[in-house]
Amino acid sequence: MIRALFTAATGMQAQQLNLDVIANNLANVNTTGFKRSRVDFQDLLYQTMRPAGTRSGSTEIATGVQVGHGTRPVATQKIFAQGNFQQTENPLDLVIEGEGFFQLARPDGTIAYTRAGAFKRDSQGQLVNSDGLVLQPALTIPADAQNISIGTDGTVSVITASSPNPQQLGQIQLARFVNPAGLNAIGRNLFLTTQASGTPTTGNAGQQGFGSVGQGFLESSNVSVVEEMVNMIAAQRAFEVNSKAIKTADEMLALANNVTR
Amino acid sequence: MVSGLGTAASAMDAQSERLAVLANNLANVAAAGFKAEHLSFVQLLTSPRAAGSVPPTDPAAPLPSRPLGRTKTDFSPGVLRDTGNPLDLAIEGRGFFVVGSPTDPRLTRAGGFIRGRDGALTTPDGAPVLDTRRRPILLPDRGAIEVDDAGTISAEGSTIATLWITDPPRVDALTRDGGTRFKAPATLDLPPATNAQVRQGALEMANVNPVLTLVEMVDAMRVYEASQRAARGVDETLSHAVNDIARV
Repeated sequence: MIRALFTAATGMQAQQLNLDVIANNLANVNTTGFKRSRVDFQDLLYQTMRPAGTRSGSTEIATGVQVGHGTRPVATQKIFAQGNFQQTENPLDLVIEGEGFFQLARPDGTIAYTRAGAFKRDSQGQLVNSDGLVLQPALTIPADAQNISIGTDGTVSVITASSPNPQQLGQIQLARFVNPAGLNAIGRNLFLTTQASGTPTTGNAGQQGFGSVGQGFLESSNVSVVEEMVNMIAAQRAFEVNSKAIKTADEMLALANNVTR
Repeated sequence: MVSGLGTAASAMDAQSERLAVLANNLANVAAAGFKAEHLSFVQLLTSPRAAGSVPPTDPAAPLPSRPLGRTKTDFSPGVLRDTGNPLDLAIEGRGFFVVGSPTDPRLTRAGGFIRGRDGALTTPDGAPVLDTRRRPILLPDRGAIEVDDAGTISAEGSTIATLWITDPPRVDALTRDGGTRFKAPATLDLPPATNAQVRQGALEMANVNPVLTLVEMVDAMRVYEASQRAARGVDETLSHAVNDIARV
């Protein structure tokens, strides 16, 4: 009886976490470069009350009694499916078509990884993201640049007022992971490496499995509103059904208390 | 008389155990690959008395102190749900993925796999998925992963491995091991499945039917209530016997 109470409680907690994740996905439906998450659940350990194969009187029990202890969230997994491309016409808006991340230097010197390619120029002309983190390898756009073009391989070239011939500034490099789902999401569209993600491989866009860079586009969030809504309904009903189990267990306990007057 | 109390108590015990099993099914309604469990009380009807091991006329024969039930797993397939995630695999038909250590493997229908740290295909909690050669499957670090109906994994046109999908002859012999996995007894052989197709980008949902489970829960509750009434009835009779008859 008490077991049923706690078992159903794990189910309710699981659905609560599920809803938290769904809510975060929906909140980020318009976030550039956002990747949706999913919670994976597993059942908890089983208590074997009677192992199969034991004898009861003259009969042998073919299957025993195993009672489970509920469910647990085992992983929140980022789904790195490609988001839609949104044309912006802004020359510093970049998408990665395929695998790879842009690399950004954080103030403490570590590298963060992102799929959100809305870059800007800071006061020194360096390419930075919306929070001012510098894109690696650092590229400085001359102040008199008139036309910036970024190729599918990430090469950045500019035409300046002083020289009408295109001048190559450098090449944007991408990073790739064996297990991107193992990256640690730290918010602000950034990811950090973990033991699970493995160390990054860096390389030029469009080569050796790296995606190619597209200029004038942004990758929108890969959240599907309809899918999240369906998930939300399912989570709500699952929550409800578990609360019914708690209620039943409670009623049964009340009855047990009434055996003696 | 007192055995009547014991019988009622054991019936109440049985129903509360049944509720625990139902609550576990409901708690796992969102766990991919979960198989519902059912508790039945076949053994209660063939208690030691009825089985003939104790003379039926022996009034001192002990009644089972706890309900003798058995849990049976319902291996019927769950609904497949499209996820579009290339490492989500579902089995259509009979069969299980084999995960864990090659010498002591576990069987599962939960195919929401991930690419582990060293590039191996694993379950979300890190148990490696085994191929037909009973080895972990190492995924290349580039190229899209394709899985065909037979469970052959390939990337950029080259075959990497074939998933070990087994269809044990007696699924009844499997015991539950948590983690949505089943443990096969050492004596059970694990032949390759002949009637299974792998679907990439889909997950098999739990096969728990919430409606039936709720109905069963109401039933458990009412049987519990009736048994409680029976216990009170016996108690009242006893009360008469002790208090009224003794007074004469």
